[in-house]
Amino acid sequence: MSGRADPELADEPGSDVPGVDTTDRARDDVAERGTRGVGATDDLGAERPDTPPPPAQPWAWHAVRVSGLFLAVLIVGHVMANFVLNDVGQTTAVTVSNHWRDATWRALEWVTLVLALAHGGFGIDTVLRRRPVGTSTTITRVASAVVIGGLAVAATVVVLTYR
Amino acid sequence: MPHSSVDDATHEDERGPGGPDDAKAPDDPSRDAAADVDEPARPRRPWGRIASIVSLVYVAWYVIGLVVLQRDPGLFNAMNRFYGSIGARVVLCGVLLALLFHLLDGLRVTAQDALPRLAAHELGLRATVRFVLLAAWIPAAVAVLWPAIRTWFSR
Repeated sequence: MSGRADPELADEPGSDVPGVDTTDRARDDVAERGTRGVGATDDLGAERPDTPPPPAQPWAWHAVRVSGLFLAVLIVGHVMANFVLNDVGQTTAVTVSNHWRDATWRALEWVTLVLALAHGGFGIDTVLRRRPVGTSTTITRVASAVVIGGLAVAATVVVLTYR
Repeated sequence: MPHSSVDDATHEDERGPGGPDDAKAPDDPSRDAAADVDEPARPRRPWGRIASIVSLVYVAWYVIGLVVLQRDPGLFNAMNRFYGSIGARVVLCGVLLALLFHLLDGLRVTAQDALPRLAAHELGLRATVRFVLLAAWIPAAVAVLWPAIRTWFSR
């Protein structure tokens, strides 16, 4: 964690202490940095009373990060298998059926799809949380959750029951 | 002010570095006043957001394809024959570009979140993302397009 005052925040209007800005804009910037916690402590590690502590990010934010790391591996395999190593124009139901005889392949497909949908759902939720609370925001959040949840259920049913 | 990379799933690339206005301080008199007026309403670099939306639409479309596979294998085969056309392959190349960009830029953002000292190398990291993106996408795009292009020479 950095102990230095952020130069980006220094010498802006509203700062009572040189190098430290206490305007709402500066607080927003610190909040955006989230887990970095820039400016939370001074060089000796003591907390500065005029600097707000870094806020905890919502769990959906962390879920996006963690699922993204797994997907970084899984999606590469998905793309290689579906587009690069096999001609997408030659793929048929028989091809998929042959692939899915292998339980590992089937499980990987399911994990990739569900994780990708969850990643997208959490990402949408993270974005919508920043919007002002209102009816349209709530409707959008619920609608996106329903659509993504429905797709996840559909993917699960197909992967589990396809013969 | 440079933007924070610690943002959200869309990576918030709207105000990426290197733009002419990013190099100027907000109080710089040479800064274009119109840019300040337009900035909130018109993001200049929405690539991160576009890539994330395209990626999510691709996953949704893929799941729909699986549902079609279970309900009507014949329709699934017809869909995949359509994907074999040159137009669909070009679209697939665009989807691949979006997927790879979303993946690589997401790794960059996550790395900068985990290691704050990497923020000092943001320009280099962005350049690395672009280099790896092209290095991975060009061969992948050739692999996707080649089966359709090959048929032109066999006629």
